[in-house]
Amino acid sequence: MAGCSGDGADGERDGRSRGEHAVETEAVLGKVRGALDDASAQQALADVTAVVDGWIDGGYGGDYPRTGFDEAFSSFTADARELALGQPGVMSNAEVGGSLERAEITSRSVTVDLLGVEGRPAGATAHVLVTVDLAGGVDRTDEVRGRLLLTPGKDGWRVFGFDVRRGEEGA
Amino acid sequence: MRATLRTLVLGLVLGLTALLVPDGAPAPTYLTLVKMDRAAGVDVDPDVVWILAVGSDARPGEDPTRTRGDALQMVGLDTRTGAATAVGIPRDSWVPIPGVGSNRVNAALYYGGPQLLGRTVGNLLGVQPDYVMLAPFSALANLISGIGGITVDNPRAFADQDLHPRGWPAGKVRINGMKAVEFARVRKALPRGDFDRSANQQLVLRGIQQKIASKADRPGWIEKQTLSVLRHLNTDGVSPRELFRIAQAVAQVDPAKITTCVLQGSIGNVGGASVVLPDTAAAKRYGDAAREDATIERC
Repeated sequence: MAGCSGDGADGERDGRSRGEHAVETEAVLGKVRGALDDASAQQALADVTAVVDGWIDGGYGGDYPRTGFDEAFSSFTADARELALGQPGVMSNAEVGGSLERAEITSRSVTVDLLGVEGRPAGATAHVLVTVDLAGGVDRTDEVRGRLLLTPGKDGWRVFGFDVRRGEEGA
Repeated sequence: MRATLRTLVLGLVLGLTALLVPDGAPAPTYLTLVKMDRAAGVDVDPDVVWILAVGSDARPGEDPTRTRGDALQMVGLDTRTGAATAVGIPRDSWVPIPGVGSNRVNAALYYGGPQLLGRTVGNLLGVQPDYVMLAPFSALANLISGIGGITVDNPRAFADQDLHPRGWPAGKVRINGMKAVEFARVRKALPRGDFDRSANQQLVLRGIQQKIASKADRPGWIEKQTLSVLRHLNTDGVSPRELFRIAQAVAQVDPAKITTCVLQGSIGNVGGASVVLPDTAAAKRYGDAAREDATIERC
């Protein structure tokens, strides 16, 4: 099942995240396990996609050169944020951000699997694929691929874990 | 890929205060997951989650939370590094049971349910569990069948005339359902009896973890397994979110970072009954070694 609808944080309607991204996120609802109606699943898709977008934009997009990437992890739990900040070569451009002139996200997609219990989402796995062109002190095209693990809470969805790889495109 | 990151963090441990023993007698085909009451002020590193896994031979009609645990494994997961450890406790270990006196460790389940068993094993190791997971053998068989069977690296060929006369060969062995449970239950045919059986139980745990890890990135697989456990879980005290996080933690364990030990001891006699007198110094050493990083370098 593809696409999304509803009134998500970024106003998603048709599987495209329409925030201020240069490239829209292709957001797809993956497997839905358990009791979750379509509207709830679509809302969860929108909400999770917004969290993932925050990480992608904060971690790989933005202006360069720069060295501050903390905002990328504002929707991570405290421990997950600490771990992510400790992986500056993978979870963001922090490792090379100071020498970059430009970083352009050229593609971004997220497929969200959901666990539903008694009509409410209880967990999500966001399968993410991002391609980013780097220019300046580093000239290459990187591919970031993996999973973010999320659970919902009072203040929205939070990333509590991740399993992410990064490497040069085609490597 | 230039760099790889595999890691996971959880916020499970802090704030565990509820006593969540399920009401009524659970069906023996169901798993039971109990949060430990942590009001005792035990200092536990919040990055390491401890689960006391208990295999129970509860028969139909019996309450598995009040039988005698047949298999005891204290499992630690370091959610930051993907390390995991298991300490096997021989079921006949003669230990102090709070409020009861000395007895076989598995009698704690009969006298005081999962909470008392958790405290008893926790006192032995010096590390208190955050959860006690009770799995009647039928439920364990269903769980293993549900993930499509497992592979164990069997160190020796053995057979049991009652449970599995054909036996299992040495080397990689694929087992499923109740046969996997029987692999973990055979004792008499093993040279070191309960100690070797406990080691075999750890092989089964490794096999389960490896299967889960190998399928974790399949779309919706973890969600499906979590849902399956929820449907067969005898407590409403552990939230689906919590269970989802635990399942992800298990999936993120790095097989290369798994260490296992079986608590050794001598055979003794108490009141005419054969018991294991556990090496309590080793037990404390295991607890001290694994408390902060779920790793035991040397058994």
